[in-house]
Amino acid sequence: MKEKNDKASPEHKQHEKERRRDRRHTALLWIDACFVMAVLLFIIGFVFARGAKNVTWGFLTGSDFETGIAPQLFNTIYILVISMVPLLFIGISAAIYTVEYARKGVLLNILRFANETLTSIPSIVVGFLGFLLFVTNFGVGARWEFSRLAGGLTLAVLNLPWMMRTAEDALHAVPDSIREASLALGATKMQTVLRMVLPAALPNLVTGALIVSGRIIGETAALIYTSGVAGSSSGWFNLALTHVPGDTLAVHIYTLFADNPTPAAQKSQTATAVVLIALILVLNLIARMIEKRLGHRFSGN
Amino acid sequence: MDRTVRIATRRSHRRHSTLADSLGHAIFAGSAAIIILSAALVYYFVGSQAFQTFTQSHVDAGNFFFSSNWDAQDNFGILYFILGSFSLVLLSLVLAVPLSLGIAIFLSEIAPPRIRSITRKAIELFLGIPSVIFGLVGLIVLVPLLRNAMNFIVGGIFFNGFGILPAMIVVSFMILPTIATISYDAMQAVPRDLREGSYAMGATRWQTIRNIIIPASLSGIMTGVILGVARALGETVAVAFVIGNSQRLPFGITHSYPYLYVGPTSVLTTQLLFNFKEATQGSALYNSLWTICFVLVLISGILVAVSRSFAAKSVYK
Repeated sequence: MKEKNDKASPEHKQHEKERRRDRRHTALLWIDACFVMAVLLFIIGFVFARGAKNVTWGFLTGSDFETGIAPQLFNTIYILVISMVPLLFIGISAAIYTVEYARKGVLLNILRFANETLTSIPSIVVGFLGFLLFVTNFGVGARWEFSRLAGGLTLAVLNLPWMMRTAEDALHAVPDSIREASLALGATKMQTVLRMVLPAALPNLVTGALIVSGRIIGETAALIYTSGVAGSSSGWFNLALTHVPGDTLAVHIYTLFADNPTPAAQKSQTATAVVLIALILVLNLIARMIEKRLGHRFSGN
Repeated sequence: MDRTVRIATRRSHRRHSTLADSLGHAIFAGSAAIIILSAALVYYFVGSQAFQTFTQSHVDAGNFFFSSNWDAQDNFGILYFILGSFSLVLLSLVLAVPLSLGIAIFLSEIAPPRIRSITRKAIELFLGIPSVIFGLVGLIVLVPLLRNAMNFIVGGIFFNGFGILPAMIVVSFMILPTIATISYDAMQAVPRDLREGSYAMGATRWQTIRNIIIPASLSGIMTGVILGVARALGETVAVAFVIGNSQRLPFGITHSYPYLYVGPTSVLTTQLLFNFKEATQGSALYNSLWTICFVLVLISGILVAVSRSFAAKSVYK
């Protein structure tokens, strides 16, 4: 025992060495975390510092290609709405099926595999498929041409697995006691799902939908060859679903880069980036507020 | 749902099964079928287009995969783009894996609660930043920075800053949150008992992390890394901003000073992006782009299968 307390003992030396190593690695991990946070802050901060001064009322409402983004703002929202309609319906229905109906087995495994396959396919490939099926008629002749419907549906396919996954999480978060109570009172399965489970899952469903919306707003690669890189030629407020192209904010940033940018276009590029990031930050903020306010309403605690 | 509820449901279902119930069931199952169908259709359509390069346009398959000559007219060799994509993925992993594992360990084992919640929100935000923004910042900040740094080192104007280096940095920060969140979840799933056992034996925190946490969550970490690889392989727009778009190897040895080429190159996805607008339907170029799509879809399918097998292996979920 006496030896162990001796500062010169090999055990003590070993222990001291391990403690020093522990401190060193802890410091490294703190530095790593600070570094990554700093990069994130830099990206957002840099874009705002460069572009925020150019986001004027005239810029937001102008429709000239290099000095205004009114058509792009409109198209972004329009394509978001077009893609969210099938996304919400199919995504939530499929999630209800897997969470409430499906039993563990081969079918569920196939569904999970299909879901993950869809998640991992590069978005440019999904864009090409959208071109094949929606813009052209299976590669021969024209169907809807470059249009916001083609872009919206392509984005719906691209985000379907994400929507289903967030909806599944939302449904899983609903405690089983709610289902049991409803069934015990004699409600049918359908009544239980529609009147008890879905309302209870609503806050999380909305949060998930907002996060998917953020992905849709930021998507570029899948839209370049489906909704096109040009705006409509007949004014920015044009509801035509087919045969009229419509570039979104994200696509606009890419187009301004791809067509040998003039100084005016470069200004417009960072300003558009500010608007895009601001939109996504707002969506994130709303999602988080809903999560905080309503998330625990039905948790039973 | 547990078993008793399920049995009760089935009984009640049998007793009061109404039209609405069976209709609802059909709609829900149909939606699930749409997802399976979409995945199957992706493979079907990409596959059916992809082989026309060899059957219709009579491009030699050996030349297609093993030649580097691509002029978009008569020669379609994608070897350089495959090598470009592979080096991009590998190099971004070299940067992204240590950084993101560090973040995951920090979040799971080290960060105090408040800092943990802030860092997690920041990582989620990172996931939400669109790829055009990454590309734009890479173009405005990273490319000039690398250009000046590299030219300063060799003493002369040899590099323009575009190429695999900025692409690798941009892509690593894009896949970092994916790897970090999945690894973090895997580390959180490691039971408390294991940690406590390790500390009770007198281990330091780092010893616990290295000998207990990382081995126990390894399959989860691998799942994250493989999904990161899939994302890096498929990233298009952010890479397009900084890659330079040139049909050369990402790096090589030259005959004159500085004897090293690190500059504009191409990867599979940017090749798709830049060439598709010139491709008329049915042309050899159009078909060969679909074959590139097929290669990408095939690789990502394999990656998903591998990641699933790792996820199935993990002990703690």
